[in-house]
Amino acid sequence: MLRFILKRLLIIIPELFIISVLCFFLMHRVASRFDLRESEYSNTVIKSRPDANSLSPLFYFSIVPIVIPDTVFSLSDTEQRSRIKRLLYQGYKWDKIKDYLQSEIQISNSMAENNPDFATLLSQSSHVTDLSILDPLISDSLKNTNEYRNWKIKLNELIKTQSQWKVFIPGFRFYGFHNQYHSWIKKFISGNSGKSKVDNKPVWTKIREALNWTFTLSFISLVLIFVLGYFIGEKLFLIKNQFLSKSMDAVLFFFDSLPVFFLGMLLIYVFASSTVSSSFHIFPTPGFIDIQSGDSFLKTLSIYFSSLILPVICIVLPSLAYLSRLVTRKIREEYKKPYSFLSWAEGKSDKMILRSEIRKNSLLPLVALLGMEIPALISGTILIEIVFNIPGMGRLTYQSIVLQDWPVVFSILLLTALLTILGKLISDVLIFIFDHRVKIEPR
Amino acid sequence: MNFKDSILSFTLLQKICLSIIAVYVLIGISADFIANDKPLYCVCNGRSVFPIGKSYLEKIGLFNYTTASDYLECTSRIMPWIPFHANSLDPLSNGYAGPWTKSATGIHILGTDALGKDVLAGLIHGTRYAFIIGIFATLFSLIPGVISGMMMGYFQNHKLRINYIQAGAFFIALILFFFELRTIAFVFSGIPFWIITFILICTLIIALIAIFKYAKFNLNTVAFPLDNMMMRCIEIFESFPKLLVLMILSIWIARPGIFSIVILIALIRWPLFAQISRAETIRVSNLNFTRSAENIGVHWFRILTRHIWPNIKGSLLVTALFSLSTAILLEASLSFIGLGLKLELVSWGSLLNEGRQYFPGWWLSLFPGLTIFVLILSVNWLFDDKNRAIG
Repeated sequence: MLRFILKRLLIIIPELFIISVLCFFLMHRVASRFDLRESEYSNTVIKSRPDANSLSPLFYFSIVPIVIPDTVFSLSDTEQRSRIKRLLYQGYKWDKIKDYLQSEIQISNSMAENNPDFATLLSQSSHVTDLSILDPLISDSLKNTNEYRNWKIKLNELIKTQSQWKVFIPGFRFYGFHNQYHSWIKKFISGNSGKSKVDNKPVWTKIREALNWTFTLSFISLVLIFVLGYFIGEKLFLIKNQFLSKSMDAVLFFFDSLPVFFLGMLLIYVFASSTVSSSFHIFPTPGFIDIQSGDSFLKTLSIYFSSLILPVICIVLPSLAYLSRLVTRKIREEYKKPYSFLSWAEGKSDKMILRSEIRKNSLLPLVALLGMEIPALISGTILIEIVFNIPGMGRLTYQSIVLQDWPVVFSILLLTALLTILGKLISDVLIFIFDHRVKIEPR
Repeated sequence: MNFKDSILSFTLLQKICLSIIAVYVLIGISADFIANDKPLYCVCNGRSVFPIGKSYLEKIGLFNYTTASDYLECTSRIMPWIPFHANSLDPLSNGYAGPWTKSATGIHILGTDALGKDVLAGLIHGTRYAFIIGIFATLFSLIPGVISGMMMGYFQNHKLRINYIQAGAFFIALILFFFELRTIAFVFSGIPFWIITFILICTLIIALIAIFKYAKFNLNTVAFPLDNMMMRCIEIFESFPKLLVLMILSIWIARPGIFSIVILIALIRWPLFAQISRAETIRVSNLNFTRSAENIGVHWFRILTRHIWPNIKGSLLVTALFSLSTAILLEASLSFIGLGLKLELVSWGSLLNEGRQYFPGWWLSLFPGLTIFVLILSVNWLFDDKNRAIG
């Protein structure tokens, strides 16, 4: 038992590490893309000085071309950094680039009074060969100065030392614990993963508030799915009438093929608004949950539940088909085995065999399904919560994605991934407890 | 049992479902001829013209581009059944006109949206996008999924044996692949990224074949745990909620076109095909004919293609059909929350999204929803229990 759990944990720990790394790099990519897009749109260029954390390396190690020195990435000026990076990737040597940039500063200083365009053009040109078009801009009087000669010499030296192929040779670099991923994951584990960009609330507070709703919603619907699914599955097995069982199947798949958002909209139109008929308007209009502080506990509870009934129906109905199918298949499988045959020979009816023998064994795949059901439920509740305007995790995620509130989005993503992995672990352990025939190692 | 026999043995309900799917496909193919603001046939300056047929040639570049207003003066016009295009704005009936609203050029049978776009025309043109997305997303997830799944199922953890040199070379090749991908994409930023990726993937495959075939050197070998490795990768992949990842990736590339959304959905869906084909391959490779072929010494590639593939392709076909409806549903739910296709591409989901934003406009939610529902229902009812794979 303990050995089994330890073995599972040994597999899970690297998995969790890879999941968090994936999450972090996705966040870095998405966030930097949006920073870039914002700076493109805004006319007023506000050069916000990046904090020390965003200048430190991303990960414990990196594999970059050997020609690129470490010092480049710690430059605080982002434009300068990206320009030097581009020059380096064209195969120019780092010390020559340094010399050249110094001469460039000198010449642009001396040119600044009579030719201000030149300096900006100079700093914007990404390719060194572009620089030759700048030559006609320089006045003849300046061409005799020392700065110009120096600049020209340094430029020629730079061009001469270009070796493109060196860029394609990888070099391994180790940075130690002082990196962005380390500080991010440390913050996440200690429960302090930053503040929301939108309303400055701590991320965990927002998630915890939303989690109450989502947990209630998914717990109720999970229990309902499993209980209803199991009993419908048993009924499908017991019904011997071909036509009846086939039509039950058809009905189940009818509900299975309803898209959740469409079902939700239909239910809202019929039962939560007066569009069809005011006599059907039973449930409160979604999005108007008002719980006053003076209300009694029962009233609060009733408001909660009356606003959760339609969403629960929406989640449960489409999921029943798959689960009841699974149960029926498993029961049929068990029914063919010798122990059921013996019970049948003893004269027991199908119902009695089901109750006394098969039920325990047919519950097993449901336990295995428990771990898989968690991410599916979270995906499902996103749409449901948007349709029914429930302030849960799904709506929070949607709003944060639309408002580009990345700390919240990726905390939720990492959290759900961790929950899924933990759910799988729990279901594996449960299966091991219930069924000792499960092999630890398949081969 | 071949395809023809299986259709003949269908029940009435299954035949109805199949014909509904066929009608959807036909509508998708002939969308331009059913709903368009250009006439099917007209006489301009004494010459007879077929403007819709001509518009296909305009797209290739044989003729100058024309719009609907160019044909207004022509005589003896024969209009399509619905005289609106999905993107044509009707100024007379904008602002959510209900069903059966009469307009200057025709009747809006299923109403219009805020800008006066006809809903029925949008549904008909959306069919085309839905099927393109469904078919190609399924295809692009099927190919890597089936290849990896069959390899995993056949080699498992013990059949592929490699020596330490091969293991090291494999590891280095993988690292080099990702490194060169990044470097080349940065240095040659003018070349499209997918071309670089495609070339590098081909190079990687050739390198891996060379490593596994020629670097044997008669050294001691160890088992390569291909199955375990890939299953761990898939487990990691599956632990993220699919819709959430799709939302993040979709907003990352900012209003994806059809090709991007196909790639995104395929990226989300390939583990399903890998798992199914792995399970099927394990089932078939434990059968006697595969075992005996193995013992005779048939090459593994031939076993996979000649012995295993014919026996698993049936259930994969069924799964692919289910996956088609799931991919359409994924795109619809993405567009429904407003993170889907570009705004100028009218899809079923984007119509539903407008219905969400304007609550009294029930026709904007009901009809697109019914369209999706009927398609998925007929796919679901088409196959009975014995044909159905998990999906």
